[in-house]
Amino acid sequence: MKILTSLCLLSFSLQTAWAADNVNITRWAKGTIEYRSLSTGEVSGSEDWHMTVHPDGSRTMAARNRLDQAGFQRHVTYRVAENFRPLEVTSVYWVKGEWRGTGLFSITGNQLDAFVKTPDGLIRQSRTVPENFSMIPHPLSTNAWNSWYYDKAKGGPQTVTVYDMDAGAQAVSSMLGKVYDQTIAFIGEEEMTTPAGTFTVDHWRVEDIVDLYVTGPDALMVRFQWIPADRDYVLTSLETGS
Amino acid sequence: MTKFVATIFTVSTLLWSTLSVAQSGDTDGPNANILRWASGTYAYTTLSDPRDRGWERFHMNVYADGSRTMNMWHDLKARSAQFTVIHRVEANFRPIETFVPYWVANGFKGSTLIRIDGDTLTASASGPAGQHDQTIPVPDVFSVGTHPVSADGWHLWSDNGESGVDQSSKIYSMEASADVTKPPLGTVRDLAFKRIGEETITVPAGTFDTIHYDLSGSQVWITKEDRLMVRMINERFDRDYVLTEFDNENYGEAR
Repeated sequence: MKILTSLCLLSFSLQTAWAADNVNITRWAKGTIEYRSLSTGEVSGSEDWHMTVHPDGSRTMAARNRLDQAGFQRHVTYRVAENFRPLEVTSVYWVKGEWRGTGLFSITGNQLDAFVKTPDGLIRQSRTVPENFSMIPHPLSTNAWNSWYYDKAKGGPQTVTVYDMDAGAQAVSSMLGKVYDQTIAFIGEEEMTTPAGTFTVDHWRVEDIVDLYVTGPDALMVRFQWIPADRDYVLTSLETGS
Repeated sequence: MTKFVATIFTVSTLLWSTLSVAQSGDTDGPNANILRWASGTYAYTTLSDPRDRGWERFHMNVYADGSRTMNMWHDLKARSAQFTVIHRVEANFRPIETFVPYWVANGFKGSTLIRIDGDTLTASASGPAGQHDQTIPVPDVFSVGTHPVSADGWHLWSDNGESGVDQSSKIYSMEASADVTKPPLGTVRDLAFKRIGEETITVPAGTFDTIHYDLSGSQVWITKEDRLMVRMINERFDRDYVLTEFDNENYGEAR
């Protein structure tokens, strides 16, 4: 009988095992970030994310955002090691009604390999990356993971390195990232209340322009403010589990 | 002032390109990419007890070109499996590409990116078993089975509309066992199904107009337009997968 018995239920053929809890999920969190104008409060988009912490300490962030006024929509799955060093990113970008590409970015040691499919064909990129770096695939939730090697004991402005994909995916090769340095400073620990609740947050400042408020051992983004650009990104819901 | 402008420029062009593009291209109205979306949650239980076996969340977007993207996250705690999936299909539900990182009872099994170009499927898997690449021919009518149930209704896209008649398709079914020495690649297999007919069913998420199928021994009820799973049961294996929460936008008569 050639009928596929296992279809999509791998458990069908493995009925005997039973587990009280899923050993692969140490904990999870799910949230929504609302994209607003600072001055008017007008909502211009939103982001939904789901983060899983695995038994080896690594984390998987599945994020989806939409910037309605700008005509963007993205899916990103971002995996990082226990210390938040990137492992891999998959991203799918849509801009103004057109699919602009799907990319897989894998990091092995100091090698980053990108394989991107676009409407104009396949693009490959291999380059070296430093030990200390992070990636910016653009959902805001993933921006909270960029300060993992910042030396808090030393404090003050410090340089971090990022691999930043072109969020607009404007050109054929645009989904490939550029590596550059940012200056980031730890301002201090604060208490912050948003519609999602009250959090003890680490306040970070990037390039003296952007303020990030990040909470907990999983570095979850609570608020992201870009005052000169009149942008405010606020965590409006949070659910957690294990 | 010059310094301020220069600083803004630097940040806009290098640091926060998302935001700078967003500012320059703003338009009024809804997101031009998304025709409609739906999201939901399933409960996995046994049919007989019922015992809790796990749960699943999904979010589906339908795009301006008719293609769909399904995000799935499942916690199959009965097997200690956790899969995160991005699955894209064309307007007719033929697969375009899929990305899956799999965690199974023995740990991380690997990540796989699957792409379909015409009649060729290319998959690249990396994980404890190493790097494995696969290129195989695929028929015009086939689907990709990633194991969460949300998109299982998409296996039925070739339904000819005749009730009570045996039909068949093909499925690229992903290896998802607990054996981490086997990379998460798939094989193309036969898939038998039969359309039972249209039924209105009520589940914890609400009442839905569905199409009922026998899918290789499982009874499934899916929505019409987007083929979203409402319920799947398999008496032989004592399984029940039921939609417990449902949310949507611009969903119209699909529900």
